[in-house]
Amino acid sequence: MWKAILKYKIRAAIWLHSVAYILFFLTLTTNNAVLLILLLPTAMISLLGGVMLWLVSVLKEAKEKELL
Amino acid sequence: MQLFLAILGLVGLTLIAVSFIVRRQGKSREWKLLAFLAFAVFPVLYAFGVVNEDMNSMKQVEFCGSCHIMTPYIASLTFDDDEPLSSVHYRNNYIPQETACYSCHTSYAMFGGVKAKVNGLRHVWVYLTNADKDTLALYEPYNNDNCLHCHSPSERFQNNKKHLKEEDFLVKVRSGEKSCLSAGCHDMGHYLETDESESDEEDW
Repeated sequence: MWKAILKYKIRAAIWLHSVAYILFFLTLTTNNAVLLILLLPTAMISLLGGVMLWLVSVLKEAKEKELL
Repeated sequence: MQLFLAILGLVGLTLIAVSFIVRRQGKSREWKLLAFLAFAVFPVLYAFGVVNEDMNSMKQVEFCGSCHIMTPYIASLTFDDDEPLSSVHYRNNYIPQETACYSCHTSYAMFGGVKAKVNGLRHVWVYLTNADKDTLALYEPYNNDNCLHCHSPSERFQNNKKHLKEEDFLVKVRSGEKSCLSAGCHDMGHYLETDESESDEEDW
């Protein structure tokens, strides 16, 4: 699964970012403490995962073009 | 603010979709710029805005009251008596009413807010694991600094006859040696209606 995620980095990043946006939006609408505390870290992890995958794809491309 | 953040979220999602379309069309330069905005800048800004809004909503009384166990404590805020500290502060607007729990139960020290959030995570763990779910107690004795933060500079507090009874009374209070909630002082934090309902049951 990890290989597939790394192979399709941008697609995975898109999914992770989409999930993060939806979860962040849900945290704004919920008044339930437990739900909010569970949603917020999940959204943060999804967002960080998306940013990291995008960064990996940028670095890989730079390496392929021998910029690094 | 919520509407603004919701719109910002929609814009972010649209930006991701547009960047993906641009990538498929093979426009390398545009893709790089759009991807930078869509995958790094915009989501981080959006997350920052949402987290800030969430942190503010976590200070609200409704947030604390969303756990069933807190119901009697929330009810005690509007109890029509000036003896319990919670109701006298809440009803007379001595503390911001929207953030009453947070104002009195979060340390005013540098990392007070952070400590409150960590304790909040512990509450969720207890809630989800069902351990000691019905037991509610302070983690440590109530900190006088939370009271003194507002009361200490007040003349009414400094010149109160009871506070001047002992020579070093205020020194002891400030050092934490003597608690504001000691017996005979301000010993009723909350008036809990459950106590009354229990005694009512016995009467039946």
